[in-house]
Amino acid sequence: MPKLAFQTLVIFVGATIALGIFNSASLVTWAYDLPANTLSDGIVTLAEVWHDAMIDLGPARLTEIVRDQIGLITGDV
Amino acid sequence: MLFPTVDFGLFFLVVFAVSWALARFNGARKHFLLAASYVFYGCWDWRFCGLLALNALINFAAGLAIERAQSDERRRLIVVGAVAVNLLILAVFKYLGWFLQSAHDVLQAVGLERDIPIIDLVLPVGISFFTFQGISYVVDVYRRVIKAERSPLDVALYISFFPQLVAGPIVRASDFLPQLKHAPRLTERDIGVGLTFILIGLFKKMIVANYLATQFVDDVFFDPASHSAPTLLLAVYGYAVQIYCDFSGYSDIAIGVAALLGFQFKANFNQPYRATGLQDFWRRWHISLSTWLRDYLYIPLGGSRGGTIFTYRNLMITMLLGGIWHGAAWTFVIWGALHGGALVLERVFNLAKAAEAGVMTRSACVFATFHFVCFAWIFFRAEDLATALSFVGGLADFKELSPDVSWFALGLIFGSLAFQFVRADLNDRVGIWLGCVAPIVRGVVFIAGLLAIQWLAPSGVAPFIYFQF
Repeated sequence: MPKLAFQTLVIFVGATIALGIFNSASLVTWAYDLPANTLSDGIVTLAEVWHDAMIDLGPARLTEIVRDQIGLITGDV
Repeated sequence: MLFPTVDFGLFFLVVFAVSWALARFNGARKHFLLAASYVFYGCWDWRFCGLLALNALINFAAGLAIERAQSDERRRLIVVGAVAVNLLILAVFKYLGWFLQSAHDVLQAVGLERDIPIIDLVLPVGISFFTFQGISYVVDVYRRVIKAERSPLDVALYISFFPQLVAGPIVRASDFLPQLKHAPRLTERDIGVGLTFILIGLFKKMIVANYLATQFVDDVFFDPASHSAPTLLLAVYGYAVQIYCDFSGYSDIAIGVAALLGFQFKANFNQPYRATGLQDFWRRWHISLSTWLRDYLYIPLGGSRGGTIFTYRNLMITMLLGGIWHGAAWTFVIWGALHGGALVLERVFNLAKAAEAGVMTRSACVFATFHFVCFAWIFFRAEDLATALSFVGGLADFKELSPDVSWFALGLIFGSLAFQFVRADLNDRVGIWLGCVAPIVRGVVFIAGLLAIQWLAPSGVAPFIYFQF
């Protein structure tokens, strides 16, 4: 893989991890929308466990606080 | 699979990694990109992947047949046949139901009611876009602008390449096919421009367009009769901004995604609301469609070669068909007729020349053009003709003068309009800067931008407006 492509891939992986940490609620919503089967049941469980962990550790709560504050300005509450 | 979703994020991560891992094997890379494009398209409705393949096959075969034809008459016959087949497929899916319903209504109105079957076909997403690309390929081969492509893989990838597949931009074969002939290269400029355009596109769509739609515009257009004239006026401004941000946002993401895969697409929008006239507007709005209509409809009709009256006729036909292309509804016909009529009047009174006068005249032209375009958007956006007329009637009703709109929506509308007047190459300059900085800075800017957009955006993902066309 070309060096620049590899650097960009690292950015994308970093972005995916950052979104997974700070936007874990979206992962749960995404998992709920998957077609129901054994695999998606497992993904839903994983997403919920991950989201709970992010709430306990703080990033998901930070996101909620930021979104609440933004919601007061935008009216999207 | 919409761009601003987890599905697309994961899909693109895999496609990006594998396609660059195959960078030294161009054939395998193209096979992979074709497969990825079919997976992308199949996520909407896998049944229509066959239609996509059929489109590629017909146009590939027609291109070869045109090139091998011995006489000009035979070449013409083949190109006419290929264009007719392309248009027939489009017409069946897009217009057959409307045509049968209209025929039923007309017969009923004159007392000749017949049992006409009412057909409600599912519209394959992006059918207009890949049909237009197919037509442009065979016509360009016929005109000897390009040589017929020997590789069915390249034609199939040109027709179905996923960044532009479902809502454009309409890419020309002469621009895209040569890019498939050599091993891809990724430069720092491509990365900077790609990441910047993705962020800007997401911002336009997820924040500006989605907020305006959900908090203001949809509500007013649903029932215009219950809103005051100032609210209706602001809602039209709001829709003008919403459709611009929605569609140009999609184009920006498509251009950014393609750039990161090593492909160059041309710009599809260029600050359309600063246009000084309708001709200028159509050079700035949905550029890939307006140039397509110019090259494959207006010019074959005769363009401006047949004298004044024929030029006006050709303009009207082009804009009417451009309107109908958006959908089988009288509102789109009126939208096209309004633009066609205004383009004719602009030529009759030589208004394009007037716009070159002074700053004041130029500003007046920008103001008048913007308001005309907004007026036409009413017909474009309204659910039906009755709603559009109710909206127009409401604009002239000044009983209630207080607008019912939040400060936030107002800020989005006028802030976005103000951005029409910044430097035209601002996005490119930001992209070039992002390409020049250290990779760690590039990564931090991109990740911070994504997080900020996620935090700022309203909940839920609305589909892109142009998916329906």
